[in-house]
Amino acid sequence: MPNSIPDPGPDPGPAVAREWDRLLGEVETLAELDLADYLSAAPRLPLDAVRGRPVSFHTPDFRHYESEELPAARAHWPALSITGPDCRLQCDHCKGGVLANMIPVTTPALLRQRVRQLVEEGATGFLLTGGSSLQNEVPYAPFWPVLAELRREFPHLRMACHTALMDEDSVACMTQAGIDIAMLDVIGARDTLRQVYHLRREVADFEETLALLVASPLRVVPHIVLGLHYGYLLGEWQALEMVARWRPDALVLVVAMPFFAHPRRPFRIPHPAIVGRFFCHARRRLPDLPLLLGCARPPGLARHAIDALAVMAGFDGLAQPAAGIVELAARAGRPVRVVPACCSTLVPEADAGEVLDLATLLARRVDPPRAASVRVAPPAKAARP
Amino acid sequence: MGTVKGCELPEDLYYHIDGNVWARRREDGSLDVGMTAYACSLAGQIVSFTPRRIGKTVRQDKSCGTVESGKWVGPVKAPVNGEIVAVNDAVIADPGLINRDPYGAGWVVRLQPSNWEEDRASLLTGAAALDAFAARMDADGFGGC
Repeated sequence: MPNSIPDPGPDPGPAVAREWDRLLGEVETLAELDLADYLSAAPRLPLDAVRGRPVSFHTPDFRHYESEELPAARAHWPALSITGPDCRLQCDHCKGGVLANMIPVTTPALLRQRVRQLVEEGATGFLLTGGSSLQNEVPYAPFWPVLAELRREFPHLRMACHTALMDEDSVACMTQAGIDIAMLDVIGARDTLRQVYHLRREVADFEETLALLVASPLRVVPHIVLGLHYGYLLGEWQALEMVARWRPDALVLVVAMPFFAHPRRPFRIPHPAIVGRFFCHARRRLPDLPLLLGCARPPGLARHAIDALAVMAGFDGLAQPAAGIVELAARAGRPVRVVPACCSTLVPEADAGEVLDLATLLARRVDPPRAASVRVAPPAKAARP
Repeated sequence: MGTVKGCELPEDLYYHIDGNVWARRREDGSLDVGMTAYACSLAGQIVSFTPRRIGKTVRQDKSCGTVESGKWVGPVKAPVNGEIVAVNDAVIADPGLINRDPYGAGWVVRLQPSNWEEDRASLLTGAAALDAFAARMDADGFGGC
């Protein structure tokens, strides 16, 4: 399986690794872990290249998240599925497992009721998704009218939608319904579509949907899943080129998780060093596009390593960071902000969210924060340049 | 064996209610620590446990390690102040053991308490623990294991 990448860029040399290793050693939580195997072969950007670059840490509650560095988010940004746990496509990496943990809203009436309840509980936005048809399309049509109604009722509520594949009409309906953010998994390898997704569509269909979205007034934040081909990288570079061609508002990278796959078609965990090489490649390829590490990552030591590599590659945001990662970013001289919302919201600097400095983080080692209700003011929609 | 809302809670264990963890005192004075069945129900099928290092001094309510599942990422909190003297390698290799046998083979760390006589006052056992968990489950809106 190919895992090499075209032109990874100049080797920054051992001095870069040493300066990052020194910082890693200063973060007690990370110094305790044996991350050498994961990090020693991974390229990183020089510290000077990332110092001063702000980074946001996002804490949506797609799943319960708690760390000693960040207060626990409570029902601020949930994920809703219009098909509940059901999905006809049954891709090998997911098998509907991701949907099973989401709030089911299987009728427009349920969607209306649940969103009103969530707003009462303090939600400032939500992610809407669902299982796919055999054509990788999500049956949103019956839900557009209710979404438009909710938009009128809650003008400041942020609504993000996992689009899957869409045509021009669907994109228009989504826009008219008042969706703020459109997200799409961009897949760059036909073999992955056939084998992992069992899908009789083409790579060009994904690029066409991306183009339609970018042409709309929506904020567009595509995702690339690293390791989507059973834990190997295959179409990710092609997917990155597609993103580079169409220049959406941001790019989210996630890493395939092995635990939803069927034992007969297992997924291995992509080696973090290979993930880190792609991170640096993406950063160099798209230096001015906000680059975000999304919620989906393998667990345990791999997660710590992947998160550290994202900080070291100059990512602009990370969702649900592993323990010690916020401190690593602060020690690297990166201004840190905590946002209890999906990373796709791209809250601008001027908006609310908790600003954290190193002294505050170190104080939290002694006194862990209680769960806080941190409100984020929804930003105004920026005009597309 | 005590049970609250379908969650088994052995009455002979010490419990830190807020942390949702149990502690079993061993003959040498050390404590085996683990997640309650209630905590396991909230977390779902656990796929990873990453412990703090052996020798680490932890304060009560601070992390002994991190558990992860498809719907949960969070710390296992120390029930008392102490030093981690052992971690359960079997759980690291097979995190699902925590769900299958939370009070037996699924212990996660072993602590040597720094001040057991003082810290035990903040733990509950027996009927008092069951009552406290019942109140917490009601407050959390928990439907049951």
